[in-house]
Amino acid sequence: MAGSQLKQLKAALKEKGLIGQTNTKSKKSKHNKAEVKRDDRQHKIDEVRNEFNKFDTKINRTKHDVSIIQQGKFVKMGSKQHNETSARNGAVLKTMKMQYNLEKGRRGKTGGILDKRFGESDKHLSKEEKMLARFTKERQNASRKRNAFSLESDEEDEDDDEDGFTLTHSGQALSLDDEPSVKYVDEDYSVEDEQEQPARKKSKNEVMKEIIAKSKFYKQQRQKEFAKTQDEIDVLDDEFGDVMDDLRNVQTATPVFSTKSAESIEYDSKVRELTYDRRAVPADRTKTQEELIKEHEDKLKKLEADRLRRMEGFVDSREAEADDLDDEFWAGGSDEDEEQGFAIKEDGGDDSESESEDEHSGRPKTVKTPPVIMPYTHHEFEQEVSQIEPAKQANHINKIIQAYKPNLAQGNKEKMNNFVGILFQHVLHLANHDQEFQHIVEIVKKLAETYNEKLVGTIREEISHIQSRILKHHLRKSDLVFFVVIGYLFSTSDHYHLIVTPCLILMNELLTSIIYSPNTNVQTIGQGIFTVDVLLSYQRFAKRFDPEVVNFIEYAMLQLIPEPKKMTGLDKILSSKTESRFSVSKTEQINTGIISIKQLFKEEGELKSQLLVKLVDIMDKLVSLYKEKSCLIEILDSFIPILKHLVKYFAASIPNLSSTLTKFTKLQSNLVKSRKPLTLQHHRALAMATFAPKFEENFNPDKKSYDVNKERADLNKIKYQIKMEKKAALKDIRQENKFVAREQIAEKKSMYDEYHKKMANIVNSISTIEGAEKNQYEREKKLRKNK
Amino acid sequence: ESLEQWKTSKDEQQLRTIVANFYSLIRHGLLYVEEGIEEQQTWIGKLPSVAYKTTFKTQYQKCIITILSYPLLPSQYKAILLILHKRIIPYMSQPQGLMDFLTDSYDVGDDAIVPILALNSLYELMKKYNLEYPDFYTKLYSLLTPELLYTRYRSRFFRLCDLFLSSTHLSANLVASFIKKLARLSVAASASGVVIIIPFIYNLLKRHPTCMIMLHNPDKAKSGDYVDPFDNNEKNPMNTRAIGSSLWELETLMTHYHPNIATLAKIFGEPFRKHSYNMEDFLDWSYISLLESESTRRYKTLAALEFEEFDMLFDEADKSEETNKRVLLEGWTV
Repeated sequence: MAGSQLKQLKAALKEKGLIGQTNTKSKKSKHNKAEVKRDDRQHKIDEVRNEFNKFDTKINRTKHDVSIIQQGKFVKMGSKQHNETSARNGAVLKTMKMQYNLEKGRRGKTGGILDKRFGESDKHLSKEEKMLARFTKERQNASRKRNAFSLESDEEDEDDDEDGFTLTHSGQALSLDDEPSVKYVDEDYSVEDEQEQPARKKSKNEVMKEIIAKSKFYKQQRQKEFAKTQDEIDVLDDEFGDVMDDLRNVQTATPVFSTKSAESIEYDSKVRELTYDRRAVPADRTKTQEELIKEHEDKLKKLEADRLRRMEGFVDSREAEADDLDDEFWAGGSDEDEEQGFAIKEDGGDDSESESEDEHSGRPKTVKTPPVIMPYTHHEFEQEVSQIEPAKQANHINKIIQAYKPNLAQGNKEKMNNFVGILFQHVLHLANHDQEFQHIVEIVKKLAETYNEKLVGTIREEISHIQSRILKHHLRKSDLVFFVVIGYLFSTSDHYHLIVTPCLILMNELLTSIIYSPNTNVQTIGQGIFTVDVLLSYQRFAKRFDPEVVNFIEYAMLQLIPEPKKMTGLDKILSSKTESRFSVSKTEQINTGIISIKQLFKEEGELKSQLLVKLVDIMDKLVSLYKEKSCLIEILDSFIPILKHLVKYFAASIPNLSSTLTKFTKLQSNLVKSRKPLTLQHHRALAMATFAPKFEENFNPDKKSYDVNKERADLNKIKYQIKMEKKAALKDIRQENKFVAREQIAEKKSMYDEYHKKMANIVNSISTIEGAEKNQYEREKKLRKNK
Repeated sequence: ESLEQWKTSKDEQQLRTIVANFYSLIRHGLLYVEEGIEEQQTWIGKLPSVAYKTTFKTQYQKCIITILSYPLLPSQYKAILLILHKRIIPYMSQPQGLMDFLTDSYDVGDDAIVPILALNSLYELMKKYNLEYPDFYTKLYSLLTPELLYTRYRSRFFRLCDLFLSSTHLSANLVASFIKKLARLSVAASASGVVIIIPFIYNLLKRHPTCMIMLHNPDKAKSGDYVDPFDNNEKNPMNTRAIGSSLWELETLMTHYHPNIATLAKIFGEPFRKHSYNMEDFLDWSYISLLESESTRRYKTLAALEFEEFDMLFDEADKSEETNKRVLLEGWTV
């Protein structure tokens, strides 16, 4: 572009065809130009004006006119092309636009044809789904066409040709076919016929109405009939049970009606039964004795493995986060996660067994009301059972369990759940009243798997009761039995167990409370010794360490030994030193009988010496249980002086005493020799945190990494590259999306513009025509007037 | 000593109780004291004169010291010690006067609780009034008795003990002795005591890494004959040679019957990544709270059942004939 502003302006205007010679153009083009003029003149002028408004354009001014080579072209410095990013963006935009247009042209097309098949390009649809969707679409289209205005009645729809669409005039249906008022010439013949036939020929409308009415009537009748038969069927159904009962009775009572012999009847019934029987399947081979034994062993092995797993208590994942989890617990949070590790696969042994039993006994014919009644509270049950003699109680309970099997009737499961809780309470009740309860415990054990939750609930309630009794120092016999029963029912070796863990805490609380209670006597010590024994039996497999037990054994021993003043080696005792109050006298006859729980609650008797014997026994048990514990030396350290002291008095009367002592001393000397210092911290040494800043010898700002490890450095490099690539790809995708959105908006805009333009054109043309007509009219009018 | 002085001091005290609520707490503290109760009743009169604080304090101090010189019942003794550091010492002009009383009670040998209670006030005096207590750590070490872990005041003791041992400038011998002694106590301690001991030892080990040799001593472990050098009966913590010993007790605690304690003890077998345990989380556990946290657990899965079969729960009373029955609890009968 050259020349002054004015010249440029002129040139621009001329280029747009706004000024300059017009006569050079042909007529056709002139016509076009006129149209253009009308629409765009203003717009074009605006455009030119904008172009020439130098205040709105941005120019990077350079002091010196320098050209450089950029992308193989000479580009002026500071010019639009020189702006690197804009140039690049422009190129990118160009390619994007090309791509977009290409894709737009190809969209929805296969080959050159626009593919309108439903779901053709949808990758998520399977072939069948596609077919189905197409089919439904087709049907929808068809039906939509047919009943566009149809009302609800079907019959009309079928008959009407007009698809239920009728023309009306002031509410009357219009029809081309029936116009009774209009009579054509050729219809006159029928006038006489009409007189002969009083009913004139019905119009089509009437015929149709009649047909409709008739069909409606028939339909109603059919419905009525149907309802009636339905009612009858219902009544028959209701009576069916009675009738069948009667029939059965009749059949047995009067075989007169039957012409068949008894044998054939039997045969028939057998055949009928057989039809209902399941087809015989080849049965599993009868297993040999060895196989049965092996199977049993395998099952035991599996159970054992399960137990070990539970004992370890989720070892693998716990160790990593052990302290984290625990912190939560000690800080007051409850770590429920812990329980997840102890999910046990239910093998449902009991269920399947009971079911198979049912199958063997045949299908229950009628569910009779059970002869035994399910008790709802322990009180009820107690009353009921008390009327039965003890030997038959187990039988009675079994009967109840049989009668209320969960698969016999709805709600039995809840009842049984309740019943298991009652049974458990009953065991404790019996224990309190010195009655035999072994058989009931066995029953509870059988039921424990199936009705676990309720049983657990009952036991947890009981635990809280016992705790309150411990705090009051008022224990019952049942409480001691309770612990034993728990050990019998549940797996005591688990790392965590919903029942056993609280029981352990409870028993240890009991031990502590016995030591520090103000009114300790021989009985409470006896109870404590019993609890110690139970605790040790709990740990027979897992061998967990229980400090309270050690403490209590020492305490009890110190309480019971004769002449405690003379004892040497007291300084080695682990537990607290208290003066003994119940020391056995030197000359007392030692009784080595079995101690009963009853005795622990009676008045003082021959208990002391028995307890002493028991304690020696328990010491032995404890030491053999904790054989592998590294601090057994310390425990033995305190046990041995006590036994040494005891040997002085009862070496002869307590049978195991001296042998236990020698065993202990031997064991201790062995342990002392073999014990080595701990090496618990066998992990890699932890790096110490340093606060000194790290200096690089050959620092280079361009160098990205100073890693000595070549492999790691490479890895990091690749990682970094991947990261950057990802970032760039994301950026590209975003840019493209934005571009597409912009294009689409522009397209829409242009579409709307086109539409508006078109409408404007139409309106325009109409008004032109109207105007022309008007002019014509005016002209005509004038002409006539002038005439 | 003299009833006259006693009465005048009471006089002042009444004044305080009436004039200012500020001192009401002390009055409550003093009400536990024998004899004083009746006399207070008679001396409630109006004494409007506003006495000076310093005189109050001196009078108060005299009063306190005379009261403390009375023959006190053990329960009263403990009650006074319990409130001494909070309610009495701050209001005295020269709390140093209490020193004799406190050191005496700290040295009480036959009751384990009294020294523990005295410790608090003693610390108060040491902190604010530069009290020098000779062989303080020896005495502190001697407080570590088996009863300690069963007393109600164990949390109080360990809170202070944590404070006393918080210095990193203590000798390793001393700290090792404390660690070893506590570990030894844990062999016969209650569950709640063990809960305190484990993080306590962890914190000590973390603070004194030289003591880590008690957990990890590979050189000694390799060499042949090794004898545990720890002397449990040595009174002086500097001479117990605990540093040469190992904490087998803690290894045993890793199999504690309480699952959470067992896992807590397992930290000693793991890298010491945790900076320190917050002792407050561990101090106030009891059997009741342990049980409570168990009872709030939800029933999730089948409670595992024992698969071992036992024929009997208890032995039969008359074991005349030899039976092959497996008995869960031998040697006991119903």
